[in-house]
Amino acid sequence: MYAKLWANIETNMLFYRRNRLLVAAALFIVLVMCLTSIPAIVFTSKSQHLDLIKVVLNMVTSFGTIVTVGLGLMLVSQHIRDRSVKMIFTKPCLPEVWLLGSFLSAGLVAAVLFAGGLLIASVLFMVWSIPFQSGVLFIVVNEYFQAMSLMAFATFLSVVFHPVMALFVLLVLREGMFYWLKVMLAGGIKALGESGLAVLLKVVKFFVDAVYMIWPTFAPYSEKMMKLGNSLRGADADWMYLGLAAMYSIVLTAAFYFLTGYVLKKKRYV
Amino acid sequence: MMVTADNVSVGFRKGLLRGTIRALDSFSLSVQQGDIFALLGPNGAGKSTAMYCFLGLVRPDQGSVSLFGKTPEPGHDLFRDIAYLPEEPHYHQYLTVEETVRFYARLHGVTGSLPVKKAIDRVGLGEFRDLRMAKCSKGMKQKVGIAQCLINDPKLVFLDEPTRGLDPIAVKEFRDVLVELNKKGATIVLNSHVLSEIEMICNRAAIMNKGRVVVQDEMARLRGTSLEAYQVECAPFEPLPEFLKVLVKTSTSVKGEIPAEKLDEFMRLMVLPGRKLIECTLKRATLEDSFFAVLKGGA
Repeated sequence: MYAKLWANIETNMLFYRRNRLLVAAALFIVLVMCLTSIPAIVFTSKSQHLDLIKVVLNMVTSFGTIVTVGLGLMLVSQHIRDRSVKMIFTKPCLPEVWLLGSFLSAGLVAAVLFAGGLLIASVLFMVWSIPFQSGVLFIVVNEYFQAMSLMAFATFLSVVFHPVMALFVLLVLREGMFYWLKVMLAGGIKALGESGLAVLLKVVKFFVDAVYMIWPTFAPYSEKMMKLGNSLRGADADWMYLGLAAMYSIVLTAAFYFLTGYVLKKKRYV
Repeated sequence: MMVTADNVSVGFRKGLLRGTIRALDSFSLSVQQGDIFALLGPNGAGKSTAMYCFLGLVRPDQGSVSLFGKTPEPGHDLFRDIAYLPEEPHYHQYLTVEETVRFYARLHGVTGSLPVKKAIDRVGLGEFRDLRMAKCSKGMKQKVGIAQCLINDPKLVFLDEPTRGLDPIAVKEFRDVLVELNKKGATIVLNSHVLSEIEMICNRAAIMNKGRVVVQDEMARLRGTSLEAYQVECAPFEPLPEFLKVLVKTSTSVKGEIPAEKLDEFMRLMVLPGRKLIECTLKRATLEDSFFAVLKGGA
C-alpha cells in the first residue's frame, strides 16, 4: 500500500510542478504580493516594522490557503474529468489510497508554503533586529490546519459538483451566511406574529438551522486569534486552543476524506 | 468462466426530467479461459458500457458481473492480473511516456526499471520515452496503453478499440502481441469496429445491439450464419441460368455469384460444348456478412 501511495504522491507532485495553470496562478499571486509588500518593506519606518511583518505574514498565509484549496478543487476533479482516474481504478489501487495520495501531496505543498511564510517572517524579524515572536508559529500552524480542512471540503465538493460550482459553494455558502439567514428569519418571524407567512418562515428557519448546525466551520477559535494576530506575542497565544483547533481540523479533514472516498466508490466512470 | 455477466441492466439519466437511456438491457455473456473474445455491435450498442461493467467502473442497476468469480470494484486486488486498454487515451497528460508506464507498473506492484524499459521497447517507443503524453500522437498514446498492458503479465486483458489510431505496421505488431499474450495463457476481451481484424484473431464473439447480446458463439459458427456462395466468371452464353446473380457482364465474360447448393447444376451447364469457365472460387461468408445479417434480424 505504501509503495502505491508514494507512487501517487510523486505523480501528483509532478502534476503540480508541470501544471501551467497552477504555476501561473502561483506566480501571479507572488507577483501581486511582491508589488504590494516590497515598497512597504523598503520605505517604512522602524516603528512600522512589526505591523509590516503582520501584513506579510497575513499575505503569505492567505496565499498558502488559496493555493491549498485550489489544489483540493483541481487535483481529484481534474483526473475524473479527463478520465485518467479510469486507468488508476483498473489497477490494484483502491480509491481510498489514491485519494490519500492526493490529500497528502496537497498537505506537503501546503506545509512547504506555510513553512515559507514562517521563514519569511523569521528573516524579517532578524533583519530588523526585532525579537522573534512565537505567536507567528502559532498563527502559521493554525492557518495550516484550517487550510487543510478547507482543502478537504473543496475536494469533496469538486467530486460532487463541477469545480466551478464547488468554488461557488465554497465562497458563498459559508457558515456566516447561514448565521445571518438565521438572524434575518428570526427577525421576520417575530415581526409577522402569527400570520400564515410566519409559519412558512418557521419551516424555512428549521431547515436553515439544520444546515447551520451541520455546515462545517473552518476557523473554530477565530475569536481567540484576534489578540494574537495584533500582537504576535507568544504570551497571548493559548497553545491548548491550538491543539484543539488542530484536532478539530484533522477530524474535519478525515470526515471529508471518507465522504469523498465513498462518493468515488459509488460514482460511475464512463 | 473468466468473465460472466448475468442479466445486467444499466441505465443513464439523460437529465433531471428527461428520462433514462438503457445502455445495457438484460445483457448476459460468458468468456472462457484462453478465449480471444470480441464484442461487436454498432455505435451505441453498449459495448463500452459492458466493458466498464466488467472493470467495475460502472455498477449495474440490475444483474451481476464477475471476473475470476469475484465482483469487480474500483481498485480491487483482482486487477493485479488484469490489463485494460481504454478506447481513448485517458492518461496523465503531464507525464512522459516512461513516467506513465512506470506509474502504472508501480500501481501493479512491479518495481525496477527493466520491465518498464522492456515494455516500452516492445511497442517501439524506445526513442520517445522522454516525450510528454500531451505531445504524443494518438497512435503513440495507444502504444503507451499497450505497453502498460504488458507490464504485469496479465491473465485477463480488456481492450477497447485497441487498433484505433495505429498504422498498419503497428496493427500487425499489436496482433502479434495479442497472440503472444494469449499463448502465455491470457484471456482477451476486446471490442473493435474492424471486423476483418477480429475475424483474424478472435475465436469467439458476441454481436450486440441495443444493449443486448443478439448472438454469442464461436467465430467459425458465427461466420456460418450466412449462406456460402461461389463467385464465378465464364464466357457469355445464352440463356444464363436464373440462379446466377450477374454482377458484371461484358462481351468477353460474365461475372457473378451462385448459391453453394447450385454449384453442381452450374458445373453441368459449363461442361456443355461451347461453354468456357474462367474462374470459380468459394466466397466464404465473412464476419461482416454475419454481422449485417444478425443486425437485420436474419440470424
